Amino acid sequence: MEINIARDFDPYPWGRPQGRDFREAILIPNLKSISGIPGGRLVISLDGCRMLGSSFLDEAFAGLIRKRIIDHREFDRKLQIISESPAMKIYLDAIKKYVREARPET
Amino acid sequence: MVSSISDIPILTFGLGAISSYSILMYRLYLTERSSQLNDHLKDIERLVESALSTLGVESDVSKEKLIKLSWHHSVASRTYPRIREICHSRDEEYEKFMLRLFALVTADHEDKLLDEASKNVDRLELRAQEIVATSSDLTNLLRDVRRESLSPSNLIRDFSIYLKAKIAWLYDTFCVP
Repeated sequence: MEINIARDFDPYPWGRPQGRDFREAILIPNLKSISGIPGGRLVISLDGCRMLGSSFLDEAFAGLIRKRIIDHREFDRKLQIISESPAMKIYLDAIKKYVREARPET
Repeated sequence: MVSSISDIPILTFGLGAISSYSILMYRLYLTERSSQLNDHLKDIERLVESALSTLGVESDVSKEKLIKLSWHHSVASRTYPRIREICHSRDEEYEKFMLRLFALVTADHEDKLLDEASKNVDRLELRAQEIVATSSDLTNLLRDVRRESLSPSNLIRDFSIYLKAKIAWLYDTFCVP
């Protein structure tokens, strides 16, 4: 299953509130829908986004770990974040960093 | 295979021409690489200016300023994968500074990504100082990389990588059916 942030959510994803909305309205329902499928994977494409904020990326993706929706291992198994544009490479690295540093909230 | 003594000058000429062409292309490659670093330094400078002007408007950041800031960030990020390659052994340092700058210029005010920064003026000054300090670290790193890339050992290493890539390309183009 593939989600394109620009097409399915907003081409200007910016700020922590939008990150929370994306996580709650798009990521979590889709993660639930693939949970019963063996080897099911959610592919998130960043292509087409006109501007991306660090707070949005942190809240949307690292928020999954902090809110205990999934753990690091499940994140790697169930989510694949992609982009065909070299300009988006920095955002992919940023997501990796935020997810790596995220710890479940107590 | 050399069949007679008369073939030797042709062979020498051929090898000389190929070597000269390779060295010329390598010089172009070095110039191009240096230009990419210089352009990247300018892009970072513009990004920092744009970020500082956004901080100046405090809590009500206009959409127009955000779009401009984001545009400057996209321009500076466009060459990120290429500059990482150029940084070679210092690519992790480069990544660290770029991601720090990304958080500093795009994160919400009072954001946890920003450590101490928030909306009030003192904190805004702190954030501005952090942006300037990080961009300065990044600039110094890129200048070091530019200087180091011209050291004899790096030139030899890069030339051998460049040559291998060209030989592989020639082989793929002309020898693989």
